[in-house]
Amino acid sequence: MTGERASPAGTVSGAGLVIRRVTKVFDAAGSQAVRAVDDLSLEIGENEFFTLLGPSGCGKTTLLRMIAGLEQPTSGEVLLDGDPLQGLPPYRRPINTVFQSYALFPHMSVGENVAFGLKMRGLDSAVIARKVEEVLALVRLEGLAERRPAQLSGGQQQRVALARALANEPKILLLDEPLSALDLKLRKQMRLELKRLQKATGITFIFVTHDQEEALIMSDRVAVLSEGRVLQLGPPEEIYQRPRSRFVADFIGDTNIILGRPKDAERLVLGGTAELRFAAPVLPSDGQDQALSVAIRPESCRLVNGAAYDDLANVFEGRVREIEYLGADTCVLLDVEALGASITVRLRNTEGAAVPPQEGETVRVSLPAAALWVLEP
Amino acid sequence: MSETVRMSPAQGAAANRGARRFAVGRIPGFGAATWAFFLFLYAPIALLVVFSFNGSNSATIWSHFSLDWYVKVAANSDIQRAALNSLIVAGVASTLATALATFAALAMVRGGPFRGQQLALSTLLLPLIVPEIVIAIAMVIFFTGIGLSLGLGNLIIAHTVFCIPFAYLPIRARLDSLSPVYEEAAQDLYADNWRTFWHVTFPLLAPGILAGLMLAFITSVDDFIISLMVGSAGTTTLPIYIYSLIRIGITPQINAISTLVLLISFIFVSLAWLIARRSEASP
Ligand SMILES: Nc1ncnc2c1ncn2[C@@H]1O[C@H](COP(=O)(O)OP(=O)(O)OP(=O)(O)O)[C@@H](O)[C@H]1O
Ligand SMILES: [Mg+2]
Repeated sequence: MTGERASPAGTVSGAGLVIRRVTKVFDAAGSQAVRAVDDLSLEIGENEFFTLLGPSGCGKTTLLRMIAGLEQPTSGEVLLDGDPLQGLPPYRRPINTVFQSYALFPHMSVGENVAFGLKMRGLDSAVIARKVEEVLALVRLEGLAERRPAQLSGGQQQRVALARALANEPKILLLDEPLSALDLKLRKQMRLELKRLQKATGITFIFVTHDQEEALIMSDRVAVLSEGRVLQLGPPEEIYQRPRSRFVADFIGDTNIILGRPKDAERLVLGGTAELRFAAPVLPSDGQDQALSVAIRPESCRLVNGAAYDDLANVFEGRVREIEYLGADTCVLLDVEALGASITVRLRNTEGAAVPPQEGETVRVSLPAAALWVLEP
Repeated sequence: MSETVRMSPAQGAAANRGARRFAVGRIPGFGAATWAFFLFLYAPIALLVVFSFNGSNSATIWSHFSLDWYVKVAANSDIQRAALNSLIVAGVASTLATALATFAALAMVRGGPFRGQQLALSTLLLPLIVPEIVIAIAMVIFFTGIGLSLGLGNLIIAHTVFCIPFAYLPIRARLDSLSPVYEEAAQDLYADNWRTFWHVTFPLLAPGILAGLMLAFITSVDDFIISLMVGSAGTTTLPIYIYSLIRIGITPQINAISTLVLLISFIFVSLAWLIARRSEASP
């Protein structure tokens, strides 16, 4: 039984947060057990803006609560800088949380709220006063220390919650959908603000959201979660440009998906005689009769007119089903018979750009070989 | 001036109610029944108060306004002793009951589910359902059985027990509406269990606790049956004293005492209600 686990010294990579094979099962009496987090492992480095992205109910909050110590894992462990956090109550962890509902103490002023953690740690009152002032300035709330939380706007409350957590200079700051209660304009402004704060303080941010745009804009790395598991982990560009699975591709942005069977390592056969060429030998050539999904982003597709398409690969004819004007862009939805699929093409509405086609018109669409990628089955 | 005409919410609601809504006030006889209710409830009380200011010796025939009976009440040492007894019993019993009810509510709501939780709750609230005379007789038999005769002490124990549910209900209501997220935030901000309770749970729960305390206090002050049966010589409380006066004969002095008791009850219940309402407005 001694060889069951690798020696800790060999596996712990050092600084940062390590989540190792953590599972959380909620076992409510009388109802079915829920596996909120399922054998999940992650390593989050120091000074990182890390985002947990996933649909509602995928276990994001549960994972955060286990890091904060508000919930105990059913199995697995959480380590901070190599030390297991197991058994440490929330008030002994150098981790603070910005709650989704902010949870500002309604019976205390803004200043008292921000000072709370410092006071509980027994700091000197002069030090506390200085720190409170400093942090309120950091989140741009100078002069509001005397107010009650109920007298603040949603955006201001959100910043008080942030200040209250940041005042303690935690090693890790957990943010559970902190922007979801704000209106769009304020949300966009706060995204930049949060990013600025993270860089300014050097604290690791673990940010939870189900808004893919938010995740892409702010993060150093994103983990896409579904049903308590990590589906994909990487920098935003990688997650957006090369989602590995259909779930991730659908969840992040719009994707065209085409089904076919590989002919060789570079060509995919689609239904009849049509072929789709790849820029490199990326197709698995062993399993001949295995159906594959390939994907391409709408903004990578091109509409090509009459003359100059001969030298382009992957050109197909399609009928325009729908035109959608989006302001900066126009989306053209095509039925492409040869692909046995509908393809969305996203065109930029720049000055002097070609006039978009009309509904019912037949056009040619090109799918550049380099922009295609294969999805995991 | 380009002011637009706005409809107040009340006007809007009135317009909404309009024709189709079921209006209970239109049932034949409903209005008359309502008036009868008010008459029978408030006329005796109003008369009681009015005749406490009667100048003559009669509690039914008015002569002239005077405060004589209040002066007599203030000078009556028996009344003072009874009032003091009532105050001691109600003060101690309601404080004890409120403290116990607070811990009970915390255990029920924050302690997580435990075996027999429903049973514990029912037991706690039993005094609300069991007829008071039954509790009184049971207490008397029990105290006699174990040979406990502490005078006012017996009364305090009995009052504490039957006041617990009255203190419990407002505290429980407040705690139910209090999201655990504040306590979690406190824990997240380095407050251990005791400091979380002291700095967060208790202040947020305080309006409920205060309302519970006042309800328990007034329930104890108003109690008659248990005080009568459990009490002994020297433990006469105000309601029992009033009752003993009636047996001698009704004079406006009784009206004056009753009016004072009514005033105290009214103040306490209003305060409890105000506190509960104000705390509803805040989260
Ligand atoms: N205390 C609990 N008892 C029972 N089940 C729970 C509990 N907390 C969470 N769950 C379940 O665990 C799953 C994950 O919940 P969680 O709150 O972590 O999701 P989430 O990703 O944060 O979702 P959202 O985006 O809606 O906040 C859900 O199916 C939820 O119903
Ligand atoms: Mg959540």
